[in-house]
Amino acid sequence: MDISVRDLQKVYVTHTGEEVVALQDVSAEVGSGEFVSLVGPSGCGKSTLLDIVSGLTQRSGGDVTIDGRGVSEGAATRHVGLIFQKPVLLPWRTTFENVYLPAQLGREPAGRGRGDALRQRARDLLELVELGPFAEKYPWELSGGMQQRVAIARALLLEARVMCMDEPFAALDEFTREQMHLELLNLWHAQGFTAIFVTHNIFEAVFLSDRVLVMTPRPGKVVAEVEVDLPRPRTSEMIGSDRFGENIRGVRSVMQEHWVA
Amino acid sequence: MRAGTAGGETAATAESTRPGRSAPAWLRTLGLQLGALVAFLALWEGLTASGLIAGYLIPPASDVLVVLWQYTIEIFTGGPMQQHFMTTLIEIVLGFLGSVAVGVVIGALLAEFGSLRRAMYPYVVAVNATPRIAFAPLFVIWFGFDHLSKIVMAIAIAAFPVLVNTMAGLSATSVDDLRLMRSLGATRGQILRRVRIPTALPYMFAGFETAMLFSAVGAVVGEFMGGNRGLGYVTLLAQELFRLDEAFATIVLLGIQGFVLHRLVVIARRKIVFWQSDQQTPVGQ
Repeated sequence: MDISVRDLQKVYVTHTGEEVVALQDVSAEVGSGEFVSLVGPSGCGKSTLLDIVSGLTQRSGGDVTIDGRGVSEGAATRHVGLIFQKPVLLPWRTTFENVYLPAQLGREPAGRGRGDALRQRARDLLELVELGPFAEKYPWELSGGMQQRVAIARALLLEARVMCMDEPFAALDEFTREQMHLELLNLWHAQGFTAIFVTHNIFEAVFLSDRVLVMTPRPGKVVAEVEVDLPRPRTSEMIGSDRFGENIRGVRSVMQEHWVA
Repeated sequence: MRAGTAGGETAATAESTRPGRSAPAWLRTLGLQLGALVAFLALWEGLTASGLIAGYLIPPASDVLVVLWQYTIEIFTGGPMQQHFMTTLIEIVLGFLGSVAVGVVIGALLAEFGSLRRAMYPYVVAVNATPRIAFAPLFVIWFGFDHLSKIVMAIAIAAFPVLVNTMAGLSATSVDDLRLMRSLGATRGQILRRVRIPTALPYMFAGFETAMLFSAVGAVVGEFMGGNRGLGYVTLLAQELFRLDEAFATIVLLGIQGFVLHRLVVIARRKIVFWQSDQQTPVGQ
């Protein structure tokens, strides 16, 4: 599914009554099946943008459509999978039960037939993220990286066509993060969803994406788009290459251009 | 979330599987605890036997133990002590159950309905601050000399930690959990059932543990104020008659009751709130 954002605006009113413009005139297009990153410093509104696209927050102005249909708060949940920085697994549920959770929620939770199919899908997804043997374990028995993989499996349960990821690997160590990058890309290749990935890590953005959207803060705006010039599928060997470095420099120079202001 | 292992216990098990080691850690701990008890009793006996503490103030440990043994036999063979023991036990347990029912219901209502909470909470605090012991004679007038006044007294004291902890627990759901549930399109009822109640359980059980102890206090106070049966009544009578060995022995029985009942609540908590390690237990009111 493609995503279209036009002249998006988000204004918050603080408890003291003043207005804070988090996003102003934000426009972006994401093609179906594309992997796009949003990069920018803290406070540039990239998480807010993601919240609006995924239906968690209401926009103040402008348009957001997914596959041609307008997105509003609470409405777009079925097609959109969300992954946060913290895995947010429920500790009283096993790994399997955590992946299965989305099937039990919403206005029409899965009944018998659909439930069985979704249970099987949950098991398959756990195998896919290589956590099959851990299905009956509890979250506290898993490492941070493993918990995040459970969160990814959960996000894929209801066959999301759009995956919104908000700095999902920021809390992981470097080695785990590299591993997760490759796993995420494998999943993306296999499932074909459209991916919006928020990060403040330029290396991560370049390694994962087709395009990098650069944002600046106050008010939040997409100021530039950088095409990533690297072949698919991405491999770890690419990381130290000159070509990779050029891509990094490309993004950095765009950011510097817009930061001085 | 739970910490990785159960700390000392797991380490001890690993140790004890090695052949030729001395007794496992839990047995060593039990030995230490029994040793402390024996040392204490020996000290007590020494102080009273040597006359350093007057016998009319504190009876010798040996006297108390003899009476205690006598009482224990009576409890198991149907002597008069059995009736007193069971009376107090029933009062405490029913008081506990009543306080749980009252505390959870009111706590949940106050947690769910903001205007009700804003209206009622100051009064809840005020009543909690009032020593309910002051009501004891009144409860006897209202509810009679029998079990009911003691149970009401127990509830009056024990319901509050349950109420406050239930309220706190139902409001303790993390922002992250709520965001997750909203992102998955959960209804209000689903959020309550699948996240808010499990999140509240650790708090509620902390309240239940306190409530059990408070229920025991309430039952005994009720018996002090107006009754003719129960361990509280017996110890009061014994103290008035200066039969201090009987008084001490009865107090020990009360202590055993309280300890065992409290322990049962702890065991229930570990079973039901299985995902929480003991270090994380929120301290009850």
